[in-house]
Amino acid sequence: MSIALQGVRKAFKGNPVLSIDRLDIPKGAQWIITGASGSGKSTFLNLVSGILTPDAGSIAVAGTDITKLPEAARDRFRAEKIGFVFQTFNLLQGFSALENVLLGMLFADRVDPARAEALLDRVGLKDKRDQNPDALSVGQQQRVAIARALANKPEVLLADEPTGNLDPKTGESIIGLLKEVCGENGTTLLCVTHQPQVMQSFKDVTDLSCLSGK
Amino acid sequence: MSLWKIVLKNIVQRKLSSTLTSASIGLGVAVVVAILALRAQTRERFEQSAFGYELVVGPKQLGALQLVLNTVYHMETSPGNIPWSRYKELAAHKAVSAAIPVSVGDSYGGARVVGTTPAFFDAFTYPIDGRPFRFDPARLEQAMAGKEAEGAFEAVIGYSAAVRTGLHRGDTFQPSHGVDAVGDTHAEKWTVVGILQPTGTPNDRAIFINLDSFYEIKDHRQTSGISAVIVKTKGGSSADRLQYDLNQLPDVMAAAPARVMAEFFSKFDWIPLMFLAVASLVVIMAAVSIFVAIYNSMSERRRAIAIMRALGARRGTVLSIVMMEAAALCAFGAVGGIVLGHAITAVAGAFLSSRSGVPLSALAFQPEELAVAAGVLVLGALAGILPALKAYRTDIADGLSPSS
Repeated sequence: MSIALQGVRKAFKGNPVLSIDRLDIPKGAQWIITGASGSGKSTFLNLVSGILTPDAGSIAVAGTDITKLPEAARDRFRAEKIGFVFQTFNLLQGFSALENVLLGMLFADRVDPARAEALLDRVGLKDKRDQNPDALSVGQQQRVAIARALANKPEVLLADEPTGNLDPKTGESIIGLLKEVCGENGTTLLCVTHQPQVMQSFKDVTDLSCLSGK
Repeated sequence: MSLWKIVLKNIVQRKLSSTLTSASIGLGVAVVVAILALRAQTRERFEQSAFGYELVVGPKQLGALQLVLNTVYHMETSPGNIPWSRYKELAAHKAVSAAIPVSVGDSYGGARVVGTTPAFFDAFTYPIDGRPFRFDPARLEQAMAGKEAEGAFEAVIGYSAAVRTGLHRGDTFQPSHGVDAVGDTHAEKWTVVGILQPTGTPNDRAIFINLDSFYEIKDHRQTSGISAVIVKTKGGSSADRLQYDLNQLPDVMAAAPARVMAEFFSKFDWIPLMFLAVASLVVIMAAVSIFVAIYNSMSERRRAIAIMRALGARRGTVLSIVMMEAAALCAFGAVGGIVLGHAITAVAGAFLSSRSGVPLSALAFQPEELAVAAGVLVLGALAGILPALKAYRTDIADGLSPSS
């Protein structure tokens, strides 16, 4: 299994947000995570990535129970094993496309400019390496974010509404790219979305509302 | 990609704020460095055995400081004369290796004219382009007795004085009475026979003439006194003993220039210390401004910090980045300040040198400057602590939320 959640509970200020008795996601799977507003989609991604810790239960990613790791080790684990793609891209302004990808490598101590350049080539931004994010279209910015997410050859790539800020055509190409590159590397892809056209392009759709009984 | 690159990017992204905060640090450091350099060099130069002057002997009526300033530094006015016979006694004294008479009171083109003997150049081993002037002791005795006698009117010019007056070997000149160049011009003409190579002493600014010619000046004839005697002893404790003995005499006083200048500077040591305190306050205020600038920017950086944390940066890493940024701003300020401080030293040193003849180097590096640089870096890191803790506590999920 790539990801295994068991008895996971998370509440904020006493309000239960997420409750998953058991969820196993095989290695290399490409899943849509969906659910009603407030069903805990973002919380789910934050728990799987180790940004948040559950109130109860265990979360194993690539065979490691990350709930048992101290915070610094979880950060390191996230740097090495998890890739993130956000709705708002979250590229660092003032850093070129290439530098944003290198930044993804820095915190895992795996800075490799040749690989960063190859990743940008792979997402179709060969000529945009030295451009700052504000000089790129939104579609190009999301491609940079995908290259950054893949920087450390992650076991899992988490995409939080990756097409939320894109027009349908660009969104379609981004989803296609995500599926392609994850498929090439055997990376498990979990994509949170509520957009039907995105869901249609995935075979496996998991509704957190159903899982949490909301 | 490295943490330092992130730090530099952050600094460049806030160019104006970064430049201003670094500049304020730099200004404070520059003042500290300039004060340290000028203070250390001034003391060192003025006290360094006063350029080989062991003792100066002059009239008793005025203070030792004026005697030293007049005889060694060619500053102030002559405090009067001592009898020629005292010079003879000193020259014959068993503890004295060299006694050099000097007489002052004239000037040319802003340079003091000093009547002396060739022994002056020998005693201090000053190299001369050309030759020393000739000296005729018999003629001197005659002139002091009021009798006119034929002889040389020759001069050896200090290096800076030659530059200042434009005099070359073979040129002639007529000094004026008095040290401020407003007195009457003497009728006698002197010929330049030599130019001193730079000595790094106040003597670079002076013009030396043969003492016998000094007393051939119509107004000086029949004067049987000289301004001072420069004395070199045979070493050991003889200088102290000789000074003590001379100070028991009713008409002369002896002063050790190095000691006189050390006492002089010790009286005013609080002045540079006060400036140092003010400059240190400027540096501290600048460090506070760095704290304010970085702290105020933390809200806009919250997302960037959250992104880095989401990418796997540890809390300690983002804490380091902010502290490194504060330290880097201080380091830029410190380096710029040290350079600027030496530039100030160059300008102030040139001014002081023109007034005192004591050369001050802008390139002389004081060990304290390293301590200043280290102190500023520590101060910078301290200024970065609170903003860094704010970065340390940044919540990733909150920081990444679209509204943040």
